[in-house]
Amino acid sequence: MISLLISILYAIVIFIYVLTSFFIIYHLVKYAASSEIKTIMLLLFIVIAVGLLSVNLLVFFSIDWNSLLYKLNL
Amino acid sequence: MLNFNAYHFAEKRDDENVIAVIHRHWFNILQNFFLIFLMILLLVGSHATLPVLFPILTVPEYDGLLLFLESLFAMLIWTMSFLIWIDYYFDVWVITSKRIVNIEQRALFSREVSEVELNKIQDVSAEVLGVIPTFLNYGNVQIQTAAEQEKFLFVKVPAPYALKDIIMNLEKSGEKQAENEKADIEAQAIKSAFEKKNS
Repeated sequence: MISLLISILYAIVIFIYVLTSFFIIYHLVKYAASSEIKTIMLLLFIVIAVGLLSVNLLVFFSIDWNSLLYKLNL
Repeated sequence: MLNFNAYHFAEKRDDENVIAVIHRHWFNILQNFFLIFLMILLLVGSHATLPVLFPILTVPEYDGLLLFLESLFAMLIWTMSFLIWIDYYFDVWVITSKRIVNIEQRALFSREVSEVELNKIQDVSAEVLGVIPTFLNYGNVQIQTAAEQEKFLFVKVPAPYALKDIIMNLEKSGEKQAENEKADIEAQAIKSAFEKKNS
């Protein structure tokens, strides 16, 4: 039950993260006045944001939450 | 002076040239990034100290949990950094050959654009208040206008006195240009009236 709750909470966090990232990219594409800065910042943001998200997803799914919660007596 | 020919903002008109693009002083973004620096310190510090303070975290299962929380925190830091940068970079004053445009970005969902024509400027004043602003040469520039929006404020901009001079020179050259245009029109009217009378 708690592991399901953790999964739902995690899904919400990831959704907020993706949505915020989308709006950051939207602002960079639509309002950046210098094309050089737009390209550099877009590349920087997307590469690192996707990298962090991938690592986080991998770590989340590698954890056995049921066993972990059992050991933590939750 | 920097070349802003390649600079293009969404509200730019075809018949104007960008003369200067002004962002807030770099010290302002440094102040805003202070929280981010603290968060990075906390992340690095917790990564180094928590396994020493709580040896249970070195057990593979708990180690994964720590790594998961750390990467989640890193995601938060990364997003916040860009939100601060967007607030700084997109908050901009653009001086063109015709007007001054203030584009004010507040977080992600609030963007306000206001402008004043150079010929509507009545008075320009600059102020530098405080020790750090004096040392780093940044401050506020206020423009008194005859337009609907009476005051136009450049907040925490670098070299405010030089900026004031640029705006005043532009305003004067704009006035001179308007006077010349008016004189040309009057001369043309007199000339055509004279020709009409002679014919």
